[in-house]
Amino acid sequence: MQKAILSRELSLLFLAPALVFIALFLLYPFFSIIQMSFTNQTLVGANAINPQNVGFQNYVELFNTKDWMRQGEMGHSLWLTVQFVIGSALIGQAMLGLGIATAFNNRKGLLREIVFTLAIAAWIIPDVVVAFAWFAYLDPEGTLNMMLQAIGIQPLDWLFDYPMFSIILFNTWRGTAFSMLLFSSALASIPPSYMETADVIGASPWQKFRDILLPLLRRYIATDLILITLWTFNTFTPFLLTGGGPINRTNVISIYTYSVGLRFFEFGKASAIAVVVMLINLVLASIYLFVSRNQQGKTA
Amino acid sequence: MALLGAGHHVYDFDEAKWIVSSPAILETLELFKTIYIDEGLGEVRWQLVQNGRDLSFEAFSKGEVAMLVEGDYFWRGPIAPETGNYAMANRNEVVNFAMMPAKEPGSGYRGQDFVSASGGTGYVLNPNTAHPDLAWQLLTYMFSKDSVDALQVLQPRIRARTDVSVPNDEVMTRIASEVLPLSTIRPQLPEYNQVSAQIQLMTERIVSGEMTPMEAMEAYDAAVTEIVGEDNVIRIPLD
Repeated sequence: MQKAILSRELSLLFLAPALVFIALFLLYPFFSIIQMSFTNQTLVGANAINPQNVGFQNYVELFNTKDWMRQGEMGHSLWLTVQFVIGSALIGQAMLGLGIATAFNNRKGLLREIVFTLAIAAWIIPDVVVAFAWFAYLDPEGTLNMMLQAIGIQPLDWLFDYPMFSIILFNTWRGTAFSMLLFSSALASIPPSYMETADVIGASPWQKFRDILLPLLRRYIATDLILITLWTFNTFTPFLLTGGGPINRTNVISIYTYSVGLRFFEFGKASAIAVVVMLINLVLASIYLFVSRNQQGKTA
Repeated sequence: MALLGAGHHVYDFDEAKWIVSSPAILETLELFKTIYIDEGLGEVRWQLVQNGRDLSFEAFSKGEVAMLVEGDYFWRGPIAPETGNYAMANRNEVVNFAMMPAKEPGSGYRGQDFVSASGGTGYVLNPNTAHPDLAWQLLTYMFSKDSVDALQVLQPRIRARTDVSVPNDEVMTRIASEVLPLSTIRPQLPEYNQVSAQIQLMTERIVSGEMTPMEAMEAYDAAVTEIVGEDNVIRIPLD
C-alpha cells in the first residue's frame, strides 16, 4: 500500500473547516426542520414564544384526505407540481435539449454557436431579470402576442388564462441548456464511424436516431431526467411570474411551502411540508443512484 | 370596505370573534358579482393577476378608468404629480375623493353613513431592552410636534398626532379631518394574515365566476373556522 502523504490527524485538521460549514449550514438546518415539523411553532402569537410539541398533527393536517385536493392545499399543490414537472422538465427541457443536441451533432458553424449561446444565456441570466423580461413577453400587449398577431393569431392573455402553460413554457426556455449540453457531450463521445456505417447501408435519420443514438444515450437520458426533475420540483422562479395565482392555479409545491411558512408564518406546518418534499426528493435521488449504478454494472 | 358599508367588520371587536357568515357578507359578494360578472363594470383581470393594482393605477392615470377605491396612498404615491410612478401632472385639477357610502345612510359599520379602513405604522419598546428610559426619551423626541412637523416637510402623511396637519394639501387635510374619524383598522391578531388570504380568495372566487356568492361564503366559513377554531367564530343567520 502506498504511504499516505498526510497523517490521519493532519488530514482531519485540513478537512475541519469544511466539515464545520457542512454541519452548520446543512446538517443543523436539516435536523432543526425535522424537529420543528413536530411543533406548532409560529412567528407571531402565543406559539412563537412557547411552541408546543404536537407530534404528527402537522402531517395529519397535510394529508387530511377530506380537504387535501382543495385549492391551496397540499394535494392540489402536488398535482400542479406533477403537471409542471412533466410539462416543463420531462417533455419541455429534455425533449428540446435532446432535439437541439441531435440536430447539431457533429456539425460546426455559426447557427450552432448562435443556438447554443442563446440557450446558455437563458440558463445563466439572474432570475429577477428573466422574470421581468417574461412578464413583458407574456403581457396581453407583449412581444409574444405581437408575433402571434403578425401571423394572424388572436392575442391571448397568457398569464391570466393559461397560467400553468405559461410557467411550463417559461421553465422550458429557462432550463433547456442543461439537457442540451449534457446530450451534446454524450453524443460527441459516440464514434462517428457508427453513423457513417449506417449511412453506407442507407439508414434513414429516424432509424439512425432510434437504433444507434437512443440506445447509446440511454443512461445519459436517465441522469438528465432525474436531475432536471429534482430541480424543477424545487424551483421557485414561477412565483416571480404568477405569485402562485390566479386563484392558486400555479401554486406549485415550492410556492405552497413559501406561503405557509413566510406569508402565514406557520413555521411548524411549513417545516412538515419541507420534510415531505425532502422525502419525495430523496426517493427521486435514490432512483437516480439506483439507475446510474445499474448502468455502471452493465457497461463494466 | 364594501363589507363595512353593508354593516359590519370581518371581526367583532367586542365579542373578540370572527364573523364568518352573515347577510352582510353575502350582500358584499353579491355586489362584487354585480360589478364584475353581471354588469362588467370592473376589470376582472386586475383583481386576479400579480400586478393588477399597478395596472389599475396606470389606466387611471391615462384617463381610462373613471373611479378606483383607493386611499390617501394613491394620492400622495402613484399619481403624485412629480414623484409618482404614474404621475398625473394635472392631478390637483382632475382627481378628487368621494367618501365611501354605506349601503343606506346609517346602515354602515357602527351605524355610520360613510365607512373607511386604515393601516399604518407603530413603534414599540422592546420589552427586553436594558434602557427603557432612554428608548422612551427617543420615541418622545421622535414624535414631538416639532419633529413630526419637520418630517411632514420631507414626507407629508396623515400622522398619528391630531395637532400636526398635512401642509399645503387640501385633499390630504380633508381625508385626515373628515374620513379618519370614521375609519377602522384590521384586527391586529396573529391569525389575521391567514384570514386575510381567505378574504382575498373569497373575492377572487366571485370575480372569476368560479363560485356563487353563497358557495364562496360557505367555503370562507369552513376555512376561517379551521384557522381560528369553532369557539372564535360568529355566524349571523341569513334571513
